[in-house]
Amino acid sequence: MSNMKVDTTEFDAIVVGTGISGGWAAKELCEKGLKTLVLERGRMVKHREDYPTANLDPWDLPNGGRPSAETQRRKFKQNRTGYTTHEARQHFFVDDLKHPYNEERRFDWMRGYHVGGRSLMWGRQSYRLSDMDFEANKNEGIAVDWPVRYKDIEPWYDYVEDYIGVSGENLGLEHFPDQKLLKPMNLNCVEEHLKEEIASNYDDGRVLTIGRTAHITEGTKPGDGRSTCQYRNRCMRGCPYGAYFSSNSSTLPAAEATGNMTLRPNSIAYEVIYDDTTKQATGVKIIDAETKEKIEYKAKIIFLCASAIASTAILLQSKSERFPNGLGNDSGELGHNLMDHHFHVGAVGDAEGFDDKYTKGRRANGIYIPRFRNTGGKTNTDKFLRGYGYQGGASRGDFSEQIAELKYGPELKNEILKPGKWQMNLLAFGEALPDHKNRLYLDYDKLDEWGLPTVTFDAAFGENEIAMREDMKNQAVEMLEKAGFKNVIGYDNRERFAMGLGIHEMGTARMGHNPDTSVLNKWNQVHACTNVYVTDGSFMTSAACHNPSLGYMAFTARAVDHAVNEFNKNNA
Amino acid sequence: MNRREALKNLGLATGFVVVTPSLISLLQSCNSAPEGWQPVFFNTDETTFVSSIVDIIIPKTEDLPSASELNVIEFIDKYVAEVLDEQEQKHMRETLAEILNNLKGGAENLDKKTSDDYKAILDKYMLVKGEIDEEREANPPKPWVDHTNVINGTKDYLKPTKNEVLNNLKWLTINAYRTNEQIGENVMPYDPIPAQYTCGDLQELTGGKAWSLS
Repeated sequence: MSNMKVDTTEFDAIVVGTGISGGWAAKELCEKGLKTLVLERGRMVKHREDYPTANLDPWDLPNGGRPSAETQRRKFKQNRTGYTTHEARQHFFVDDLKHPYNEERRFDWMRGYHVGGRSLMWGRQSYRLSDMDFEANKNEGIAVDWPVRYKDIEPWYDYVEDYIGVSGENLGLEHFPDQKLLKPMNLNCVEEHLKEEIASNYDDGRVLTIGRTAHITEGTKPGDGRSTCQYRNRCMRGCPYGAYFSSNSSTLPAAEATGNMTLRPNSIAYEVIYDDTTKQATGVKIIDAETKEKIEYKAKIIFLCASAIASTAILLQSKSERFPNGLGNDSGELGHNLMDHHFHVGAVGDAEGFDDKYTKGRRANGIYIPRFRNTGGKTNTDKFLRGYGYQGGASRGDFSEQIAELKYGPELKNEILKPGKWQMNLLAFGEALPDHKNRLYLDYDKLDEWGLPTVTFDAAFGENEIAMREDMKNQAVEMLEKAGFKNVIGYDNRERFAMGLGIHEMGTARMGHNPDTSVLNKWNQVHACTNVYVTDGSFMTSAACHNPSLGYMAFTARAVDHAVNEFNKNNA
Repeated sequence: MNRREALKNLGLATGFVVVTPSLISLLQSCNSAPEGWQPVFFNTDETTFVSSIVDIIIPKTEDLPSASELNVIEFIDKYVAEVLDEQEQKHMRETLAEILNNLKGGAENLDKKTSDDYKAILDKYMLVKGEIDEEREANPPKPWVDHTNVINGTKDYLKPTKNEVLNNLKWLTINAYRTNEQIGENVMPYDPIPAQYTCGDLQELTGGKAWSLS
């Protein structure tokens, strides 16, 4: 291409993306001595100094923080969560008019284009997959087998947990592995009550615990001045205390400190360059988001960490004679088997007898009830495969109930300054099965402002998920009723919500033993182009039922270790 | 400030605000209504109406200011101007006009309306839990069909009923009041850096009040 500039710097490695996975790839590669170019499509966000809303109170925000009509218009897809467009955090979510995508069937794609990616706004819940998860596809004949087992990844979970800081409580359950945990956050009195009730009402192994969350609760962790959680619950604005893990506070400063990192924001990677003579990738093509200049960067190792959808889209765009359907797409599975977790189902109930109790602090965490379905013996059901866990928690609501029958006057005024009733919410998150029919593909007729094809989604939850939801609702109702909660209401918003809202996109470049049925091997390498590693959610062969980001970190660290060993062998 | 000064200040904005009994009573209490403030969205009648009902919803009490003393009208006006889209604003204005016509009766303006007249309007049209909005029953929202609107970003606009507009104004008044810095930092317990999460006794923690930050 005539307007393509070739940068002649000899990098050892290129990392595409700076979120959860990209930050880890950058840190590990740089710390192992490789000269690494880190590409980020969005703007620079520096830890602390680029968190403009971190210390703003509601009265400091326009309209108390409610999204303006203009924000709602420009971010109408991001707005689907109901929380991402709040004026305190909307600057970390993309403009849908500037960054369009298409939906054959509705798919809610929540994105943050900036250094740190979604590691700044993630949910921070951090759990491990177990062998129950790694073996499920094989045991049930679903999709393909994971080429990895728990023992392979366990030391890498240990490694990343030690580094980032995860708080919580170990339970000693085989299907829900213990972790390297900092001291747990507290349950409140209503949650303690439910915990005791569940323990006495059930003998099928179900247990309520505090969520395991990537917040420092004691001491410190490496990075840029990380300290303990202050319980402000303003995480999604960026944490000036560095209390929760983000690339910005942790891995990127570590990579920077080595002197081996070249970080280039505003760099939209769109193609991995393949050389058929060596059967290896030689670099990455980018477009500068601001100048629209096209530049080619060269390196010996490529890490795609751009998020499941974006990394898949880059591979699909990387067409060559050898790979006419996208780099590594011999199997035809690239872009398929798109997964997310299904939720918006559970139950709420009122707690009585706690009116004299209240909480201090705003805990950015909730309860967790680990999977207790299809874990063996009496927990098994023939109604659906896999299982689900519950998140949620108890809190005192606002004044709405107290003034529901008051129109105006001093009595109303008095009530609006008081806390509301205690309510407990059990919100289920369920595993979705991989399904070849759930996919994304590129639309070359609808180009974005950089002339790149846009992503089209065509996916929906399937019968197994729908069957599971009935149980997700019923068990939540039953647990609350047995524990004495009042006005218990089960809910299932199945019709109104869509895939993507869990913001856990996974599976579109899955791992597997066989190149004919999968995209990546057990080291996260593209089967037929082994110096390209893909370590974001796209590698997930199955989804398990809980938040996946911790696994992306562990698999990334493991993949870098492999890549650098190979690199050193070749250079020896 | 004294009443004379207040009236002089208000005079700067006379093109937009007509001095009505309710405004005069505000001035007589020498409140902190925004000096020289001009509404962005509300017209004269709307301003008179909204600034009157916010003090009925949240009146002055022994130890706490009224809604108008905290410039709640300014918050609401800006909110409607910035958060509602054009169609939603148009709908709100249409329904407000119905309410205002009702309030005026045969009168040309709201000058002679007393707070009892405003209360009568709220009593008549603002519904509470358990009461049925017949206007809405006669014109129910369209049932959810599929995800097409969500995908396209189009809305099924629905003109609010009189009850809905008045209840919206009630919620906006409460929100504006609670989102006010003076209330949030000095009246409600303010805890910007809690540094811990614990469960405890309501009276000991906050004296029975809600925290201002949630």
